[in-house]
Amino acid sequence: MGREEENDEEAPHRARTMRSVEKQRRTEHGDEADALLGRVAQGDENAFAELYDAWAGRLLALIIRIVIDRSQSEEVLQEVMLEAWRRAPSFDPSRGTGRAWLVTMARHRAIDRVRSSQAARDREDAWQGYLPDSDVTAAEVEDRMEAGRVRDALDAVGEPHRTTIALAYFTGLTHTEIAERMGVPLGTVKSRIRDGMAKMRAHLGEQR
Amino acid sequence: MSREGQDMTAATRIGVDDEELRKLLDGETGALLGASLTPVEPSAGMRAALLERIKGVEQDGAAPAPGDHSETGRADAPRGSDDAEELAPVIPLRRRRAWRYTAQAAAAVALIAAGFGAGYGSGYGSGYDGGHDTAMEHVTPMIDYTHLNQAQDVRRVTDTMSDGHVATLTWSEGMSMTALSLPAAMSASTGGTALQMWLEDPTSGITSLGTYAPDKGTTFTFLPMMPKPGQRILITAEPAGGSAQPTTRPLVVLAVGGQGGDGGSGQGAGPSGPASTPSSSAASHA
Repeated sequence: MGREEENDEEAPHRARTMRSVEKQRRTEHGDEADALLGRVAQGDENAFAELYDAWAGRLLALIIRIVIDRSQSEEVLQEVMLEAWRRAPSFDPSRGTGRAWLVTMARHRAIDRVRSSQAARDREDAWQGYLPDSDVTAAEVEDRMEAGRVRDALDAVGEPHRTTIALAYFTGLTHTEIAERMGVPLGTVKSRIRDGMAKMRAHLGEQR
Repeated sequence: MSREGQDMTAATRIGVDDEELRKLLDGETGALLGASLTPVEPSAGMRAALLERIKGVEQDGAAPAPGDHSETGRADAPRGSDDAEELAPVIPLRRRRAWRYTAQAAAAVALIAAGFGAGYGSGYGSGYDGGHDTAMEHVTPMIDYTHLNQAQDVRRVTDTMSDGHVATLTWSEGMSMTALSLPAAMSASTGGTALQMWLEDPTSGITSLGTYAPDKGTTFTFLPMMPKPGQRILITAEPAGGSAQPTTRPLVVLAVGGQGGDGGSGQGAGPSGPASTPSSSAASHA
């Protein structure tokens, strides 16, 4: 009995520690988004507010990086958040994390917007064909990275894979356009992305 | 449409022509990459507006039955092409305007407080980013330049030198931003002299815009002015440190036409002013 009482005294501390560790693990693995999306799927508006608080800033950073235009980026963010609300019931955590669901949705929406804007410009203007400088793009992405281990992973990939991944992920450029920009064959771009992402995955460890 | 068909179409839509690569970029590792950027605070009011808006947005059907993966529950394919036209409605314009106007007003206050010139010198984005100086304070010139070139109202005039190199003046009134881009070879050819930029106005005469000093790795610099019809931007080679008045013949002349530029039509509508006559030093190093 006495032993049990001693354990009970430590229990609150242990519980708090475990909750903290578990929360960190869940956040790192996107489980927090899973849980929030699950509640949003039930029509929980408070959960949607929490989802917004947790993800709007991160998603907007990604969208701005791709779309560039701040005003258009915020419109894309609205679309993404509303789509998250509308489609939350179809989110299936067994197929991937909520983080991947949200980030992929935002990235696709942003690229859609770039493509749409680009098409409009192509029709209406004689676009001069501006392309971002590849080295600067990679450096900018790293400068804006908050998550140290992801930055480390991207660094570990090394050049020219790092720049190729940055262009492929954070711009609206197609792989063909990246190949033209970097002056290498399309197959080289693909292999750099493939190998680079594999290295990143290995560096980051198992991601569900 | 089959799930595979949806994926392939989604890959094509976003310009990824390899399904394996699309899965890599859209998978968990890609998501970590995409979620790792420093968050940018959305405009004030967006949260409340969205929370109000969702009250009128119906959610899709019930959660899928176990084993049913035909919809967008997949992490790596949130939408198929069949969904492309089913865009979630954006917040009604009236409401969006409200918070955007608020943000723009805040931006205007910030801009006035900082001084118009400061908008070019250090906080390039402060005139157009909706008043999010905190979030945008680390925006680099390259992003600003990209932004400028993608502005809907972007205007350009160019001057093609005899060796084929092109100088470009790019501006957007909507963004209150003007940039000058000179050939890298021209900058490298100065050898102890400075490339000085001048604004020539039909009424006020010639004013120095400073020396051309692009940031490392770039070939452009921002100018603290908004081009007007009839004005010209001149580039001259001056002694290091610059001159009070031009002392040499212009290397580049960028003349702003009556329509305020070429409307993005590139070199075809080039400068209406006199043809440039690059000095031998600039041409020889080009």
